[in-house]
Amino acid sequence: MIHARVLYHLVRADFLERVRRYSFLLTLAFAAYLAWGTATGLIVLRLDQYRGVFNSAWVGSMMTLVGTLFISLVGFYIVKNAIRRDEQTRVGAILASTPMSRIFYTLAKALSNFAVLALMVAVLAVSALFLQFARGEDTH
Amino acid sequence: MKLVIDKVSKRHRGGNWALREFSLELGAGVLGLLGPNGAGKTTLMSILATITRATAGSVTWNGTGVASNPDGLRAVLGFLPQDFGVYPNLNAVEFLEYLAAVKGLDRAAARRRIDELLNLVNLADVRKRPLGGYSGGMKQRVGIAQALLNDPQLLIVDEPTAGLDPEERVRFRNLLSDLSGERIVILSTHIVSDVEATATDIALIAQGTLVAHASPEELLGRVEGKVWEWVVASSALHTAKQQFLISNTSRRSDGVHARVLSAEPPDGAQAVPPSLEDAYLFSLAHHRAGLPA
Repeated sequence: MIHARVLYHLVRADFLERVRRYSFLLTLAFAAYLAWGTATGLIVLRLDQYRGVFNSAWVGSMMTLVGTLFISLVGFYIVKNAIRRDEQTRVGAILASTPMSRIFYTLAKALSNFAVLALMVAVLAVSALFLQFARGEDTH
Repeated sequence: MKLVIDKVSKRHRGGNWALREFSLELGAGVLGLLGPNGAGKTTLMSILATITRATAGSVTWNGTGVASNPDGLRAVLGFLPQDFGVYPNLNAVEFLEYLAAVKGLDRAAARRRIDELLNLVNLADVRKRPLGGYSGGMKQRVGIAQALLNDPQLLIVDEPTAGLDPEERVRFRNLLSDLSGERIVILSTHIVSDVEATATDIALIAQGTLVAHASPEELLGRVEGKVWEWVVASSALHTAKQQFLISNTSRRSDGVHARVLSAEPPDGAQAVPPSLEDAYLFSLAHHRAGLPA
C-alpha cells in the first residue's frame, strides 16, 4: 500500500511538473491542430485519386497514422529527458538521499512518460471525435 | 546515536583529492563544519548523505556501515544540499507531499507535518503558489522544510543560510538551536557567525583534512591572549597586513582599528577578547604554515 502511494506521488509530481509547462500546452495545441487538419482533409491519405469517406473508421485510421508520427517525433522530445530533468532541477540530490529504490524511481518515470503521452493521444482522440461530427460527412 | 567517519578520502576523476583521511566521531548535538570555499565540505556532506561514495575509509551509523547499507541511514536522514532545487511548476504543498511520500511518510502524517513545517518556515501564506515564482530565500526555506519532513535523527545542512536575508538567517539559527537535542545536526558553512550561534562542537576543515575538532570554548581558549586591537594610520595598513595576521579592520576618526592575531602584541596594541572568527582564522593560518592548529 505504501509502495503504491510512493509510486502515485512520484508519477503525479513528475506529470504535473511537465504538463504545466507552456511548451507542453503548445504541444497539445499542435496536437489539436493536427486533429483538425486530419478531420477537415488538410492532411489526407489518398490512394491514387480516391480517399476514404470521413466516417469513424476512416478518421480513426487517419488519426492513428498522424498520432503515430506525432507521438514518435514530438512525444519523444517531450519525454526523453525525464531523469536529466531531476539533475537539472537539482531535485535528484534530495531523491538520492532517500530510501527509494532505483527500480521504483525508473518505474515512476516510465509511468509518468506514459501518462504524458496518453494525454497527447487523448487530445487527438477527443478532437477527432468532435471534428468528425462537425464535418458531418458520415456519422457512422 | 553515533556517526563515525573513519579515515574517509575522496579522489575526483581529475585525480585531485577533495578529502584526505578525514576522521570524526559524532553524537547528539550541532556540529559546525567550518572551512573556506573548496575545503571539501560539500564532498564530505555528499558522502554522509549517501550520494557519493568515498574512495577510501568508512562511515558508520550506529555501528552499521553506510556504504553497504545506505537505507538504514537514509530512513532517518534529513538533507539540505548546497544547491537545493525544486520543481518550478509545483507549489510548496505538492512538492513537499511528493518528498514526504518518497521519504516513507503516510498520508495523514505527511499532511500534518507539511502544515507544521510551512508555518515554521513562514510559507503558509504562499503554499499554493508555484515554486518557480519564489525568491531564493523562499526556496531555501522550502529546502529546510523538506529536510525536516521525516523528523530526522541526522540532519545535514550545507550552506543553509546562503540567500537568506538577515531576519531569515536569525530565524533559521534559532530553528537549528531548537532542533538540536536528541539528534545529530551537521551545519556546513564558511560563515562563522552561523556556527557561533548554534554549534555545540566545531570541526575546522581545510584542503580536505581535519584541522581541528573542539568545542567553541576550546577553540576560543587557543587564541586567548593572542588577539589585539591596534590603531594604525591608513597609510601603514598595507605594511601591517604584511607583518601580522589581521582578522578585521574598521576605519574610525583616529585611524584604522585592526584586529591582530599574534602571540606578541604590536607596539601600542591593546588585548581584546577573542571571537570565534579570530580562532578560525588563527587555526587556518597555522594549518597553512604547517603548525598545529
